[in-house]
Amino acid sequence: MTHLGDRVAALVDGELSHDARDRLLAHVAGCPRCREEVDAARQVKARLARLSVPAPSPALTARLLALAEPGEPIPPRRRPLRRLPRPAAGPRSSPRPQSARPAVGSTGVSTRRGRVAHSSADRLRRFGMTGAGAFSVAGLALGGAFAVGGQSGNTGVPLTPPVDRLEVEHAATTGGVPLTDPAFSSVLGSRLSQPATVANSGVLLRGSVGSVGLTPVQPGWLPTVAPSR
Amino acid sequence: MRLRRSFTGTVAAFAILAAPALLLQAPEKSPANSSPRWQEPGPRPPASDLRALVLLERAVRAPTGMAYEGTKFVSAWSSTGTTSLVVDVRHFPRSGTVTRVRGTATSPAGETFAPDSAGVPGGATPDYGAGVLGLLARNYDVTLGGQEQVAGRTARVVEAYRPAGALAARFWLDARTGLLLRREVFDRSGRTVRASAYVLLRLRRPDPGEHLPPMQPAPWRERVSGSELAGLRADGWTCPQELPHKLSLYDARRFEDPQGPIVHLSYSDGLSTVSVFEQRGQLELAGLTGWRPTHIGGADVHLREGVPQRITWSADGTVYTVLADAAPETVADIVRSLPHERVDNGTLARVRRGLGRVASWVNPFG
Repeated sequence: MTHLGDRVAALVDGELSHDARDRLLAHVAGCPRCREEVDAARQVKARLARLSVPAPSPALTARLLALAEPGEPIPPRRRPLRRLPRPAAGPRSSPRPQSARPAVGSTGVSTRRGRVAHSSADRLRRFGMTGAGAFSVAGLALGGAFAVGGQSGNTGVPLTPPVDRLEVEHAATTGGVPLTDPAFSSVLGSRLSQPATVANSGVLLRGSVGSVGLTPVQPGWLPTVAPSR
Repeated sequence: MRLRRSFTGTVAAFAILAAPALLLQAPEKSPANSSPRWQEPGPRPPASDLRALVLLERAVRAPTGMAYEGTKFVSAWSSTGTTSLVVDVRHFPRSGTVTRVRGTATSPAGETFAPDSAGVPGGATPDYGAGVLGLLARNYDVTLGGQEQVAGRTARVVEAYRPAGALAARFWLDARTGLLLRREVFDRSGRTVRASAYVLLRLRRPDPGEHLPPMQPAPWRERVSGSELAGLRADGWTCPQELPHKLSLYDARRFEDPQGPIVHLSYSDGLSTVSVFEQRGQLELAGLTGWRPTHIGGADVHLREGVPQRITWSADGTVYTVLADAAPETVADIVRSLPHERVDNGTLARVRRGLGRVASWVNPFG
């Protein structure tokens, strides 16, 4: 099916609210399938409009004219729910309209038919307005939801990760990893609360920096161990 | 058609108004890895040299009973530049290593303590030695090199090659004691990314009244078991079992912070180490100084340079903090593999989000 569904008819008939109609037109402008369907609906409507109105049958005309004559007593008001079969209430309710049954039947039919013929336009208009109202409400709801659902995020409590603490933990678990350098995991990132002094007396120098045979050091590194030999 | 339309329209309108429960489907976060088991080190690849592995094993155990001190330099190369420091190292037997940075113009002096992992009974840090060495043996081909001099001592060289054949790391191990004297790590292109070496080293007899290591907050002792990890994943925590480039999970811990529980996952491939921290919430940048927003692995994150690299971001209600001592492309792939906010600003996505928010206002239990 298409994206518009039953709203095609409402759009073609001009029964939508301004916002809903604009939104649908915006969609149709960009969607070829829906544009085709709207065009087809428009063509059907144009063709229907061109059809001639059928003339009423003579029997119907006669019945309508008969309504103008003074007739039988007004039939009891039809309650819609009474149409449901009521086996218990049969004997009581039947005698009253019994005498007028044939007339009621005929006028009832004609009345019913007349009611149908008389109020079909009203009914259609009422249905159209209900549908338009429903779609307007739906459109407003969707529009509101669209506005509210602006930027995703803000889905949790704002918090700042305790990075200092995390660095200590990282050092604790990686410092024990063999053959990695604890200096890399701990030194350059984390600090203790107060530096302690390390006794450095009696340190013998075993080699010079040059004997290590390292790649050239980058600027900013100041070797503080003086080679002696 | 038109007679039915109004009824259909009314029903459709009410269905749309009542639809939050239907439309709201939180995207299921697929578990990164459904296996709850701990990663077991696999068998040694046939290309590794048994003698080299024996030397490495010896190097893992060597510091345990020895007392030594020395001076070494450490350098780390990254895309943004180099960090180099000179550190004084002092190792206390059956305890750990105190590392002190010599003050330079750029960074202040400070001291850190890294506990020993091997052979510390009742220690806070479990024995990673065998496990992580197994990872190294599994992920790299370990072979013997020659002999060289480091800090005036004779050292045996052990080399680790990637399966593709490129050299990944080189270790210089003291021939007499087995201590790791020098270490260099290379990235896939062969460039040095980490280098450290003792400039001088002195072994000494341990004194009975040894200077005790300085106090530091105890690491989070609550280790998370494999089944608890599976439970966390079912609750929506990511907790991947593996990260790209064969980084395997070797430790998982949990800690109750005033802001909420923090899960600490440690990964290694034998050479690189990465810690991933997960917390429930939304990243608040106000308290972070020295961080800058950047783009890594196709995602917007906040980065603090240094070693280890510190990267943080939040996605779908979880704050991720990554501390990585790894090559830059490895870090980028790690960041890419973890969840990120997929901000879909399409019409349908916005309507869904809005309906969800409205539903959450209306439904106090939602």
